Amino acid sequence: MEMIFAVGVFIFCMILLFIERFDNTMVVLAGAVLLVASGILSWEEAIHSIDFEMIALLLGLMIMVGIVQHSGIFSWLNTKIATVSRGNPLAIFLMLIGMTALASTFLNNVTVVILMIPIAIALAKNLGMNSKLIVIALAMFSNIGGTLTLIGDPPNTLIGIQANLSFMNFVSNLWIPVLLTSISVIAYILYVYKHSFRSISKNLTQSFVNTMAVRRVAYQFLEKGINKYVAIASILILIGTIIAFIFQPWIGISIGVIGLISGAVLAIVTYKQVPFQKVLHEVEWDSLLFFVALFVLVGALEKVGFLEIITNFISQFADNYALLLLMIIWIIGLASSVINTIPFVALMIPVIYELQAQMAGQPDLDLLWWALALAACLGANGTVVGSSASYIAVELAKKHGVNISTLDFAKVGMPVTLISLTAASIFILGRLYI
Amino acid sequence: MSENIKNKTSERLSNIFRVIEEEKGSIKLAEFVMETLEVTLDSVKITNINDLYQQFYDLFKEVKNTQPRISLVIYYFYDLWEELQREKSNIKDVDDFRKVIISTTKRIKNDSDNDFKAIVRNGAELVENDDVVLVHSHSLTVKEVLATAAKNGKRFKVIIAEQETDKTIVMVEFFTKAKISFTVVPEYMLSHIAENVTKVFFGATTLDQEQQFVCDAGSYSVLAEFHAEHIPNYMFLSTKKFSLWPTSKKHETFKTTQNKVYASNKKVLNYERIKFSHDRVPADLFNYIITESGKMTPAQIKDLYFERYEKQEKMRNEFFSDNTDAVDF
Repeated sequence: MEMIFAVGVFIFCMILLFIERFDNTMVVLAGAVLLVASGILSWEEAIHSIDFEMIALLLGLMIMVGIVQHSGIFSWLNTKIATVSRGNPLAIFLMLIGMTALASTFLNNVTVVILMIPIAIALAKNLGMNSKLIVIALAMFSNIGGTLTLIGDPPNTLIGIQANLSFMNFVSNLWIPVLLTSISVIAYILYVYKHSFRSISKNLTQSFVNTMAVRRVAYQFLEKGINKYVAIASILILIGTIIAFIFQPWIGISIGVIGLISGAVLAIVTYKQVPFQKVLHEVEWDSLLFFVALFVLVGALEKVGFLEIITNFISQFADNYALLLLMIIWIIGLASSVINTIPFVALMIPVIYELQAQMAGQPDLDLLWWALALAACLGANGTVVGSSASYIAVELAKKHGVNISTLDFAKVGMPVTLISLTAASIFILGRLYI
Repeated sequence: MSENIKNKTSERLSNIFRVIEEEKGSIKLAEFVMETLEVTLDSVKITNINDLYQQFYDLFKEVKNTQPRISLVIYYFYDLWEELQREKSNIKDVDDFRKVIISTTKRIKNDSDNDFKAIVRNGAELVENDDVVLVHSHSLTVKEVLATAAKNGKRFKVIIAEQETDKTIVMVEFFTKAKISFTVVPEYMLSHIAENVTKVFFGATTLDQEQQFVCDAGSYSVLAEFHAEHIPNYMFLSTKKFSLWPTSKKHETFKTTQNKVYASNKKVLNYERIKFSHDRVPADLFNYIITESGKMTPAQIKDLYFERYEKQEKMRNEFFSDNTDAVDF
């Protein structure tokens, strides 16, 4: 009876998250409160099920991001690179998605999208480019870039912290599929939308108009100027943080604490330029609360024995390890394209732990984690509701006069997801057999 | 280039010119255009001299026909074109073409700087101690004239006639930085301070064939008010900004319908709000027009205008009258 109730609450929450009629955090929090109030989880058990290291890491990174976006460094970098491109649509497209992917490896995807979309739309409109395609591509490459690191995308952070994987574990294992996916997706977009990237280098008038447009966007976004002190402090501390993440296994400080230290140090050294109250406003408290409640929901499922049932079901396929890995990639990947990925990942982590215990002796058991990470991050590109970054990008684009329907997004997103999951499958099978 | 792409390119060029002119003024826009031309010629991959010449001619036609037409930019392109005609026999290849354009844009920028400095110098001499100067136009020239007068040790006050917020703020920032004492008065309340004003300064985008200056919206009312009060009105304009073509389009008009919500009762009122980008102000309402050549009366400026008009009309007829898209080099 307890199991039916706990699973019912979880499924009901998932349905509400899918239809997006209510605030996501409110839904998950209500579910968690219901499970504690009904006595399925005691207060102590609920607190115990929360992974505070993950919350600490996210809080530290959100503080850093809140300060970085006040530096003006993104606008400066984008306009400088756009100026160098001299209005070439292909160069600008590659620059925008490259910047987005790179920034998303170290910063929250939603923040990157918020920083990139206004300037991308201004460039696209002034250059007569396909604004919808640019917005969709940026959302997708924020997810693809975020796949590379432990801190790039929330599913990865969840996997990394709970599975005790290091920053470098992610980079060394995922750079090949991320690169493979990026190249495949770029090739697909350039082939299907080739008319949007026609070369203008032999047309004086078009080159002139595009160069004028880039110069106009440059002064428009650079007028506020760059806060050099905040920019330099942000870059230095960001580099320091990445170095600390890389050497974390040797330093011996947990990833969560590194994140918190970085956020605190940056806040202290920039408090005169960026008031801390302002930084606190930038922290996504609702997202932190979402994770807290989600941990409680999954904790309840674990307590009532539901995760064991899933593990037993999946372990039927353990004889064929390749099939099991492909199942994880495709089932979770396709599911992630239409529902919020994070609850799914949170649910799968204890299942994978259990599977690894059952399959002890099987080589390359770490592939289960990488299959999960690739599926969750890359699958999220399928539709606009697959990831928060996509959803925010589309909402932000609407404010700038670019209306992207669910179908518009899926037309680009579904093929890209199929290509990405195929690339991920090739990599995982390659790792298994070669 | 397909007709569709060509139309879109023309539309984009017009939009970009209009926006930059609104945000930065026509002098900065013209500077931008010259710099962009240099950069574009350096990066464009055209190897055939006839092709490049034809494409430059096409670009010139686009620049000539933007909506609105930007007179200073068109003047510079005529200057470039004249130089290309003069150097025709020396231009053997694409590199020669680039060299002529780049050296001419450099000369144009130099001339432009000198003209600007001359207008500013001529204008600053008008400002006297204890003057109260009313400014309305968001004009780089007017701002520099007053900054130079202040640097020259003149003690005077400025009244900024408040117009669109963005433009007023730019002026407030400028005068604050230049440490010039100023007060802001809404442009529809100027009658209350008219008796304190000793001079009124205006800037303009251009002077058209009908001898009307194209100024910031709202200029006509301010000018009319102070003209009636017999307070001297001065216009600051480079003669290179003359619109040397037949006036055809009277107004650039933007219509918007707004939904306004009143916070007190949440009542939604729908009404049509018509907005005009510029005013056209008769030149003879001004006492003097300050140019790079000095202080001129409206009659003198008219003579100079038509002298320039005839010269440009001759070139226009020679190169653009038959509506052909081709040009021989």
